[in-house]
Amino acid sequence: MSCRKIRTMMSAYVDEELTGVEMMEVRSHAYSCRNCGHELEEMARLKRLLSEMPPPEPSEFMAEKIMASVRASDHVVHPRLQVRWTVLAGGVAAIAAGYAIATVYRTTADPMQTVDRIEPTIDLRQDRAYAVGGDPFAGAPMVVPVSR
Amino acid sequence: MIGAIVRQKTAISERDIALFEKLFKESHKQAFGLACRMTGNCSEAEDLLQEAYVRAYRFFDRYDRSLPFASWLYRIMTNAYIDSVRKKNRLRMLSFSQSTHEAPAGFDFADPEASPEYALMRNALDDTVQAGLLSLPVEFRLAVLLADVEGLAYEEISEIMQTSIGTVRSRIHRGRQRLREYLVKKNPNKYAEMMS
Ligand SMILES: [Zn+2]
Repeated sequence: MSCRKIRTMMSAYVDEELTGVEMMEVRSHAYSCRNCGHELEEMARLKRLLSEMPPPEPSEFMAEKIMASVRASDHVVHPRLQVRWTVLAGGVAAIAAGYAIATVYRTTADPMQTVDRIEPTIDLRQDRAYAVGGDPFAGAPMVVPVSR
Repeated sequence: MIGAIVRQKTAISERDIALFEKLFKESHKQAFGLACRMTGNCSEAEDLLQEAYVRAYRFFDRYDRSLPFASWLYRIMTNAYIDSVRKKNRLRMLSFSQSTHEAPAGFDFADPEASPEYALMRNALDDTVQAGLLSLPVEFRLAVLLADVEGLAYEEISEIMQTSIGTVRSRIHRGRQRLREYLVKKNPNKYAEMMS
């Protein structure tokens, strides 16, 4: 097997993600080819270097702060507000439809791209309701007021 | 449909909240470490982590309990991070085109140490390896971190990044190659020392 082919397999080799036969091919090539042997050793050292980086420690207040905002996120809906769901659904459905089209469009246009996963949602402020989403093509925020 | 979204927000039972808190306690330290390495900045990491847990809680009923919570959380976190990087890049493109009529050279920083944001970062992780990680395109950086820092298998990484195993494999390979090139170029002496 050529040096070039072996080199494309080296990362997967150090990650133990090759088949048994492939592992043996890389190992025997690296044993007899000095350059590839050296390259393989460097790959393995780089991996070790990364895995041995000391994990950063969070501040002592972080956990409490995050759980507090998680709990607070539970109270987005104003309890006294009566919204006509059918009307509201219209606004959000429009955004959601845009998303569905955009998802298909983007997935087929470029499979390497991660499709944005901003979920369409609603936002209720005082006595007004808004459907909130993003312009699925440009990604700009889109806010649609929903009348009652 | 909207009815379902709203109900979802309010219908999480007390027992689920207790379970969520338990999963949070088990996962947040490790997730914080990953977020710091992803962003290169621990105060940005805290914001990212908060965003990820809030999203996870909102969609907690979609979490498949037979799978590790950390994988699901990392999927949410990487999506949130990629969203924010894209948003920043769009703003940067905009400010570049307005000020100099030139587009920036690359999507991520070609040289993170030279950027003003990097200099202004608080709590920045300032070693050479971290700077090298930040110089990688975001997808490469994430794949390398998930493999090497988190020690995950390609299959798990492909679930988190929602891509094929082949793509994961090539992202890791190219990510490591670029990281090495960066280290050799930036700090050859230190690189030699690291590799000895
Ligand atoms: Zn060779």
